[in-house]
Amino acid sequence: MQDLVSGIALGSTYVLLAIGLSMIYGILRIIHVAHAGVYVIGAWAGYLVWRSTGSLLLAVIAGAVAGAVAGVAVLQLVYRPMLDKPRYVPLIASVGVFILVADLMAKPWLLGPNPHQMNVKPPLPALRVGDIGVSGTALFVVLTAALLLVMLWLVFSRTQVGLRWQAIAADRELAGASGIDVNRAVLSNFAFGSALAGAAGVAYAAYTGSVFATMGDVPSYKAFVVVVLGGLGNVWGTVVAGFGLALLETLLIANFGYLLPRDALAFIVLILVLMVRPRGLFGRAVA
Amino acid sequence: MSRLRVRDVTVRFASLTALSNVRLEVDAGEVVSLVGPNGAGKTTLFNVITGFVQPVAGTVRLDGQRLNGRGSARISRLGVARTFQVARPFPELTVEDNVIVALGRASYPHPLRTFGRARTPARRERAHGLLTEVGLPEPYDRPAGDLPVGHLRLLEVGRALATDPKVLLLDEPAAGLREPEVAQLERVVARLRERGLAVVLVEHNVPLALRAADRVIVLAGGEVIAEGTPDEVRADRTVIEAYLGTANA
Repeated sequence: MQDLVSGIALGSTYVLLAIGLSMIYGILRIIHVAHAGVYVIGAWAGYLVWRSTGSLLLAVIAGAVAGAVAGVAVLQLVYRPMLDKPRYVPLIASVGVFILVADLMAKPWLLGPNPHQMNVKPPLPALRVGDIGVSGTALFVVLTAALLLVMLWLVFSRTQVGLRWQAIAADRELAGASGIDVNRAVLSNFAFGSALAGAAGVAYAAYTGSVFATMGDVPSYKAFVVVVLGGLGNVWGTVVAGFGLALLETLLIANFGYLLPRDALAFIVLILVLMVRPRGLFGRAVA
Repeated sequence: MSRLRVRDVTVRFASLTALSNVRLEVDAGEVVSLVGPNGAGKTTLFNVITGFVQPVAGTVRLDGQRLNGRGSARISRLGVARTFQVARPFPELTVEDNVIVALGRASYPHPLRTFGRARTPARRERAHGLLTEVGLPEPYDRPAGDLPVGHLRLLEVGRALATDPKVLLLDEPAAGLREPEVAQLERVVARLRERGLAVVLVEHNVPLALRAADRVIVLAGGEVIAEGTPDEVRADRTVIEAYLGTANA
């Protein structure tokens, strides 16, 4: 049961990162590799705020804001001019942006080449139910993710902008012909998804206790695995896949040890699932 | 001044000339039917008017304001709405949401309002009113993708009307409709004309196209070959023989 708790906390960070990637893929059909760069920028901003204020809550907010700004900058400066090009063009640009961010972050005037400790004072009291203990930081991470997911669900299902995102994801051309300002809706979608990535960066750094320039490397492909498992562009499938993958990783390692590197498991699961369901667990069949 | 004025529009796809010096004028409160064989350029003309295709020559103006060169969303917000030859719903949204998502600017006076509640009582009432007006039966809370083809066409008209258009372009709205639905559609078009909308109707159901229209334009090979009142076009022997068929004469 203790492992289950760890899996849920880790899954919360996977989901927060992957859900933005899924939202952006859904609306633009771009595999936004640079999303992991946004995650690092969010973690860095959160780290700076935590170092000067000691508040994890403020750090998460700062990470979300920095993530939103960075994501919108990538959209406007990099993707916007190439939206009418074949999809591999923004994909290549996205890989380039991700490498650029990781290299910049490794400069001494940003994060530098070495990890920074981020041993946060747990913002919530630890919980203990029988033999199961939940640290205040893990609880904070899970509650933050839950709050953001509820917020996302409300925006998606209840607001006009959420309806517009769904309409654009279904048929971008028709959405435009229906008077929807597609550019503006894509911008808000990018800002929201990127804010989640920024928050995920801070949550992961707080949970693991360190921030470093290359912390986006593993999430860059693991988030992609989660999105594909959930069904490309299926936001709620991404939630299930994110928690499922984290739980599977944690439980397998707890029960069988490191038979394989933890991160290799994600790809083994992906390969096995795609052999049975090529469209992912919750993806729709392509006619 | 005509509400919609298309002047000398020419469209080329590689070596194919899809439209050649096409002119079209529609006044407020007027229904113009566009008829012609497959490949005549009818849908291409709609695509030009709505910004999906840019012409190599010619202009499109709405109340004197130039439309060509603008994006389709901007053109829609300026007051030109359309339906598609193949009905295109947002399949996972409910029928009601398909209309609510397209509700015009009057419903969202400020961009930040889009972060507000989508399904306010006023917007739901407006959406239901439009769906009732076009004759789409309830329930409206089912996914649009579950609707039969005929109902999808009616939903498209409802969604187009949700944008508060001045000009409505209907691309084969009767295709796949049963007789009572065609009659309903005809009544809807007549009501829209009474309300002052300019309507352009592309329709393969020629009797319907002639019945519903104030004027008829016949396109063939990307050129206008005849224009006039339904009676004039009906009496045009070349048109009858070449495009309408003697049975419709």
